[in-house]
Amino acid sequence: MEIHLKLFANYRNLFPPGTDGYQLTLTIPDNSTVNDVLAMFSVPQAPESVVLVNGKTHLPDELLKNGDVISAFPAMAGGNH
Amino acid sequence: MKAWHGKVLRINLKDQTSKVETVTQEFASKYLGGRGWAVKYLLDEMDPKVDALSPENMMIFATGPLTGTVAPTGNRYMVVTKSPLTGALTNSNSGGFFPTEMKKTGFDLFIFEGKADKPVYLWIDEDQVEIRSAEHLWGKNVPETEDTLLAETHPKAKVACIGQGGENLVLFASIMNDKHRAAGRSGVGAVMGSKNLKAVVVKGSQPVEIADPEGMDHICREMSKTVGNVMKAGGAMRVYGTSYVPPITNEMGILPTRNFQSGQFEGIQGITGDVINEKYLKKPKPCFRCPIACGRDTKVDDPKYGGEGEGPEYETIAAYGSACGVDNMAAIIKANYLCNEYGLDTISAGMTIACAMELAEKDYIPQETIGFDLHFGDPDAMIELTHQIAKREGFGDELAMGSYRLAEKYGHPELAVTAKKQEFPGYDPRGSQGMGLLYATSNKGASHMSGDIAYSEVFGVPEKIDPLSLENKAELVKRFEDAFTVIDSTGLCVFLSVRYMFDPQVELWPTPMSKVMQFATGVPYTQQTLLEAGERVFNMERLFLLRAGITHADDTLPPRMLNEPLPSGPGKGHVAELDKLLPRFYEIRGWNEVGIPDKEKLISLGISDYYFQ
Repeated sequence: MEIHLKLFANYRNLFPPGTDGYQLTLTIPDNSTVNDVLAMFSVPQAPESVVLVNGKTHLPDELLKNGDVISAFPAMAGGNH
Repeated sequence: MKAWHGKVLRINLKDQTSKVETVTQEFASKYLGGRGWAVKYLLDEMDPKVDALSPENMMIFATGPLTGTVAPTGNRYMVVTKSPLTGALTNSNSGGFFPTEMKKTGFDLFIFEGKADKPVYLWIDEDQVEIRSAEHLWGKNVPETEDTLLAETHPKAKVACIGQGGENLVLFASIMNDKHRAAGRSGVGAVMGSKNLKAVVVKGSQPVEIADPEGMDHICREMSKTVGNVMKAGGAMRVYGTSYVPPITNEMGILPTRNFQSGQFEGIQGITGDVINEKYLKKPKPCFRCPIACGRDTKVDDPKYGGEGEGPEYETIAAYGSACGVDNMAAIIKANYLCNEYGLDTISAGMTIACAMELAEKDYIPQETIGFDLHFGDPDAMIELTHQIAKREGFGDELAMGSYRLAEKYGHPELAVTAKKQEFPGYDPRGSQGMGLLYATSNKGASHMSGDIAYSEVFGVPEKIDPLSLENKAELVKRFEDAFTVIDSTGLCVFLSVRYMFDPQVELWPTPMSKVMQFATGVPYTQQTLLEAGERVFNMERLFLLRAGITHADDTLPPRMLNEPLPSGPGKGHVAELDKLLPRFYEIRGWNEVGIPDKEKLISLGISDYYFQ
């Protein structure tokens, strides 16, 4: 299935060099979770990151659907209390 | 007394006299300092019903016990006074370098009373207090005023002043310090202007005494190192300042767009922090002793919008960008520079222009009144109106009264997106329910800085919560409000305090704050007593509002928020469900059903003398 990944703020740098903008469209296996996608680009998981699916707060083990938009950015604590 | 000097300078502008007063240790500990002390003075000494722009209104500059100490971000002061925009008590916070220098004069607070017969400025060099003529400065903008004052006082002095906005009593005029830092909200600059007080210039060398210097140095060095390392490693606040936020709020559908008609902006690509970094950023600029450095030193090379200065922050981008339907970052930055130079609050200025754009597009204001065809998405009109507001010229004279009075004048008050007549900041409460309750119950009208629950609803601090859910929101808003009152009173910046002084195990409580306050003041503060002091001050503000005639009926949101669902995004179909949150909020605050604090609550907070019925 096809999903879209948006990385905001300094997470943009986690995309491969040459990526245009802050969004990538990816083809991934069915039954993938959010964390599977984050792992592809070494994006830290929650709570270090804020992760949204279609702009909404997601459940960690939620399965993705075709066309979903995942967005992630660093939680303001910077992952380090 | 440690950390506090225990000294207050009271200046009577009418008589051109000043005197030094002292406070007791008990007073200092109980009301914390900064915002807390100032609220106590206003509640005790001033009739809350006075006209905010009359000589009877008192204006207080207040530093906190941690201002000017080794505590990271100990660089804040607050301007506390009755607001001409809201009619409520306000506290407007600023950092930079002026507040630390103010503390070095040996005073914690400056209390201004009365009105000078002619424009004056105050020159305080340690204990030498001079009230000097400012007639040669009247009409000058902020940078010109500061440069002139440094030349005629001392090159290392620090300046807080008003520009033409404050002189001309624009109801959302700011007080600027260090040229680019703003005590921005609620029209504190207009109060200063109404007193014929152009500027306050300070220089000093009085040290802040610390109860346990070794403990203080250790904990503060650790905190500074931790935060500094995160920032050096590419922390978003260092790289972008707050300008990294627009794409996030847009994704969540809560980015104010065209006067809150929508929460998603089709021009988002033009107003991101990346645009600033790629085209306009010179360097990050920190306030005194700040390891974050969220300030933006910027320069715009553009024939139309060229200039140099500081900004923009997220709020300015939301107000002058998406709220006005403008995706031209150079124009947004230009508007920011103009607001800083004239001394205007970028939030209220941008949002008021956005409101005017909607009124004009709907033909509620005749084009001949405005002087041109005003519509969303016109950066040049936005810039022109900013000039007009500061100078009180043309249509700008009407905008200078803020969006509520503007929309009311033209028969459509429902189009003013305000709470207690103050413009909303950049989070649409229909998609962030806690923010709606915050705006409605903030003592200073709509403001994110009175208890920014967006930290949890948007940014995941201390943990991410669902912004559309109502669960536990009343409790969280109360805790954020009380914690922000503590932070404001101590003299630290919320950016550091909220992010790095939390213990995630105990929810919303900045644990090390009590340790830092213990080391600094010697007072055995605990988590609980510090938070209780915040609640005490918050309730005292509420009691001031009640005495000023502001009631539970004012704890509300505009019709657009309550009745018009968000048209798109994750919050599509949602309105702000304030009616479901407010009764619970009153209950946990210990207030009755019409928002008046119960006697028992005031007794428990040690302020029963102020009981209101």
